[in-house]
Amino acid sequence: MSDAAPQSSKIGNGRVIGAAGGAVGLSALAAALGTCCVAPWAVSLVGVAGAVALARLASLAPYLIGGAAVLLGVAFYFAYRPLPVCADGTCDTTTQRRLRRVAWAGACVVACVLAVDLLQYA
Amino acid sequence: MNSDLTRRSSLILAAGMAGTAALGSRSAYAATPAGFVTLDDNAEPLRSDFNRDVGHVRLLLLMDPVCPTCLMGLSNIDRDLLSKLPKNSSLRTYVVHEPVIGGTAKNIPGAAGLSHSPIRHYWNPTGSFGRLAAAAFDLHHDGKPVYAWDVWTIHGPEAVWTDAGPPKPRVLMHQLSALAGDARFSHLDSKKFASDAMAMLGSGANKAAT
Repeated sequence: MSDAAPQSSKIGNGRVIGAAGGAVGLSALAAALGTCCVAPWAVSLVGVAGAVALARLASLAPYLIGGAAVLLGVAFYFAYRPLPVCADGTCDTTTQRRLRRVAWAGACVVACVLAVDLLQYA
Repeated sequence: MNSDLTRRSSLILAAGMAGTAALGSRSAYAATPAGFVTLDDNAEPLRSDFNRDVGHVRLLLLMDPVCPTCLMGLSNIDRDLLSKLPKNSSLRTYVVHEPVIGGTAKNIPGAAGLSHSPIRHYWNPTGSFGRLAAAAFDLHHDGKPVYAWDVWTIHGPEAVWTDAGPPKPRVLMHQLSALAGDARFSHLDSKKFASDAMAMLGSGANKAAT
């Protein structure tokens, strides 16, 4: 039991960091695809055919945003899930607080990236 | 024997070249030879070209040559319509390139490469054509005019460009967020655009293919 608890918390750490990181990545990709459609840099960077391909991929942006939301949900679940009760009070709560900060930081980054992307429609 | 073969080959080659020249001279419509033509603020020579082609179904496509969405629209229309038409199709296609998000004249050849069909490309360096078309096509949102770019129109054979401006098209589609809520115009659906154009081409009012 005492060996299982640290192992489980390590797996939880990885899931929170991985899910939060994945959410940030997906939202950044969604923002990049959304921006490309009105950005003049796409043609000079990837050529006409590349710009056409990016424009075609832009239709995936809502799905990427949905995926980012799901990953954030996973991150928050593992960051806030109840820890096993430790009768002797040896459970580490510091790590849990750190993970919650990671999840919130990921949520803030995702929100900022999407807000900046939405500015192009303002 | 060899001199007979050489003479026969030369005759065949000469006949082929003469035939090709004859076909070319019969067609009054051809892709813009220098790549594109620059419009003046009166939309010439587009207006003259448009009116010379009365009797033909005409596409008038407005875009910025570095706009990825516009480029995708042109590519899709080429895929679904232009590439499927015979070489001597009576359809006339005009593309007006406007500097909306930073496109310049040197970007036009790249955009023109998306279609191998005969298209006349025009460059509007002042952007005045977008304002002219917006007024003529009645593009507005919340009482304000919406600049006409990323707009894809089909004009019937009867359409004439008068002093009042380009005629209202029979079909207008767009990829503009400002017109998203306007029930009069639909978002560009290249397959629907193609079927509308083909229906007009096959309606019998169109001039015969040249």
